[in-house]
Amino acid sequence: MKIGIISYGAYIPKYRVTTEEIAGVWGKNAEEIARGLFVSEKSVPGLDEDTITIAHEASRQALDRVAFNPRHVDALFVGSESHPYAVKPSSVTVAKALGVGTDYYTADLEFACKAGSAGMQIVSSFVSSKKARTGLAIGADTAQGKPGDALEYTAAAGGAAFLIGSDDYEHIATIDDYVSYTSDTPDFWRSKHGKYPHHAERFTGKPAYFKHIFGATTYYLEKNNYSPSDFDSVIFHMPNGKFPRTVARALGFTEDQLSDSLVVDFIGNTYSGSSLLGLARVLDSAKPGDRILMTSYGSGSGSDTFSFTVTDAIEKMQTGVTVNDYIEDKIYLSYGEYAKHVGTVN
Amino acid sequence: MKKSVVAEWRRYEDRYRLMGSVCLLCKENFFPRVTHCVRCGSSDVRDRLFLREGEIYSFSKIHVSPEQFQKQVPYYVALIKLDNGPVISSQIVDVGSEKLFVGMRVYAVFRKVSGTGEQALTYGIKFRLTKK
Amino acid sequence: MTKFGEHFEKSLLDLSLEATFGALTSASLTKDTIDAIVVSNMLSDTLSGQGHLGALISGSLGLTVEAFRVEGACASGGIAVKKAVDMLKAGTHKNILVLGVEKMCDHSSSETTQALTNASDAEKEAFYGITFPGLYAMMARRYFYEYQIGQAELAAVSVKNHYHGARNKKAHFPKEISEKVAMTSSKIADPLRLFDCSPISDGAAALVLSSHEPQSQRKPVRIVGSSIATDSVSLQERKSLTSIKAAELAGKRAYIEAGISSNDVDVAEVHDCFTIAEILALEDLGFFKRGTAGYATMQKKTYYDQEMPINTSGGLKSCGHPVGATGVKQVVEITEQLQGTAEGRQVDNPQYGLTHNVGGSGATCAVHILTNTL
Repeated sequence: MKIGIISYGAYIPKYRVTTEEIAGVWGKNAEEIARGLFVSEKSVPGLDEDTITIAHEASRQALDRVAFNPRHVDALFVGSESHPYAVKPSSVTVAKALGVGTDYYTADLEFACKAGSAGMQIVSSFVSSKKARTGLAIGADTAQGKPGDALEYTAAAGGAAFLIGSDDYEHIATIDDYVSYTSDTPDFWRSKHGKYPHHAERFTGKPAYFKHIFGATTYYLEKNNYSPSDFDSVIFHMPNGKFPRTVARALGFTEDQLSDSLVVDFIGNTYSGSSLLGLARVLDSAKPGDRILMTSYGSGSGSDTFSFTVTDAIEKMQTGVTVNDYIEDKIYLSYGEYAKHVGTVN
Repeated sequence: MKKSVVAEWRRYEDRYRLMGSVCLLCKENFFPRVTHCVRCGSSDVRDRLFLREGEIYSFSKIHVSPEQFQKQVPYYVALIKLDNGPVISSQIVDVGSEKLFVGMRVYAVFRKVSGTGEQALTYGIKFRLTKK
Repeated sequence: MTKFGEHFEKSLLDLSLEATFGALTSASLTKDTIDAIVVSNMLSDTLSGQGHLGALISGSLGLTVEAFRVEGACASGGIAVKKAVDMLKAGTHKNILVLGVEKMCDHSSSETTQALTNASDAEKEAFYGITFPGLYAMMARRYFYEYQIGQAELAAVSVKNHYHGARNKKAHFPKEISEKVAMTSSKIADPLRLFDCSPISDGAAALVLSSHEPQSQRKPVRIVGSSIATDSVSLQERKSLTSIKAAELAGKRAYIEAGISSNDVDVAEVHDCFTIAEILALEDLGFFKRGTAGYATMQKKTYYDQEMPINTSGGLKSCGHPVGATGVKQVVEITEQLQGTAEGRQVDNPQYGLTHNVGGSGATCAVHILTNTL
């Protein structure tokens, strides 16, 4: 049985703070930082927004686009590293707000920035095993950036949702296969009561991000006998604008294949939403027959690789609000306002 | 004043999805849901999911607020006339430089209403200005 | 009545007894002639954890009479007066003490503001942080939209009430203000500013209502119209934001009972919790046509020596608004006007007076009509 994406949705909060504004507070050179990270501004959640509200908006768009009856959603998984509660799942509130019934499989997921793609794997498996007719996999975050730390420039807010179903439903893209590459790697972590994460600086590069993205992607390509040129678009997790560009080149992908996915350049790193938002943006302008490869990365560490083939039905979907519309709809904040929004000042 | 999680839970369906009631006898709409029609007294009322669009009936910008809303000051509160429902009370959020006016088009979004840290979080429907 | 204002050194009971004995003295009665007590108070439970006020007052007077408390948010006072009137009409009691009292200043303004939202709808309005001023602000905004008036008309109400309050020894803020001060005061809930909003005050007011001829030397004043009407607590269900139906209805019924019309009213105390509320009241009670009361106020028609004296006490704005006391104080002020003892703000030879007391954003309205004619 072929499984596929029935619909998708995205959401990026309206607020932004610039690299220049943040750097100014800490006495750093904004231009240098922006050049190094390829990030000149990032998205900031509204005072009344959190992972649950973001996950809901993205999911609602996914359902509304195809006028999908929420009672047909049999599985729903929200992946995030900023679930509002330590105990009480975000997924149930999102489900309730969408009108999903009571007979669905759910739990919250955490695997740093790959919690969203892990959700896609889980939902795909529920659908393949015929336990679920359809399911929603959502990656959403309101990431915490420690004031004064390097990650403050990129830790952003946003999310995307994918409605995955059996071939009883019309697909806009088929899910051809998915793999994972995982290890125990201490590159980035946040303790139980810690407000901000810790990271191991340069260790987060080669032994972490690059090793796992390489591991999953090459495993996938070998397993299915593909090469990078077989794909029209590729998406990699985007902790900043530099890493995905570097790994793409190293794996043999071109700038052209990568360019549509690079939401990070405009809004920073939306953590569990990152690769999923990249995928959503690629789908916004994909053509029937396009082959897409996506590899996420979550610190701790692991990477999930998916490949998709876009169908004819994609064109019907390409009306309405796009990821670019969300990117362009913005209000700038001062550092003080930004601090209020993310809870640095209470 | 401590919030009752039970009282909040009773209203999840209403507040999360814009679910109100319609009286099968006299056709009057209500939000939130009611057990008996306010107009004719009939208990023959059915759940009704209202469309998530409407217009501003009146509004105000709050500059002095109760403690749990202090962080959001100033914020807009409004009475919204739903397209296929009654007038309801809520907030208007994400207003940038736009000037609000009576009759302006708005659409519903799902947002946090109050609660941080130790308190239970409450969610509900708020409204955003419709883009032209 | 006591002076309204900040009374940190006086408790709820202190204020109550001060007002009570003041009323008994002016009625030339002793406390043992009281055969029932109706207490009006809104916030004592919420702010001070003290309920059971009927017995509290009765016990403090050494009495064992029928005593209870009524509550209808800011209309509690008017409701208490009507309950006493009803009991007198029923013939079960002869001398009823009506006492309105409120302690608000012992608490932080945010605690008090929070407690006042009890007057609105908790689920629909307070839930979203729609403050009490926010509700009246939305009524003002809609009134601006329907009748094309603005800030200046609202400020005129505030300026007039302060003019009157400056002449009332019992007022919380007995000081005149200028239009400029009113229009540039800090924003509370747009379009309402600080000077559009009545203050938080402590105070008590008391009356003795009797079914027999009074023993004092003053001119006897009778209540000839007494009516309460209600509407939805929440603003969203009202048919109109630019009129308070409960006030229209209570007014109409009171006029019918008294056998008069709005034209016969010589002086009125209306519920100006916010300046817009006075404008709505004047139209709801038929003193001015819809959409014109703001302009009439700007033309100074509602000053104590003009054609339709309104809020000679200084209203809620200048005299103060200890919530439970206001409705009772309104009757005290009208009584003084009808007895000719409203020094400094005396209306010329009034015969009929009216009080209009509103709860919440218009959910309850109590109207009383008093006269000194036989």
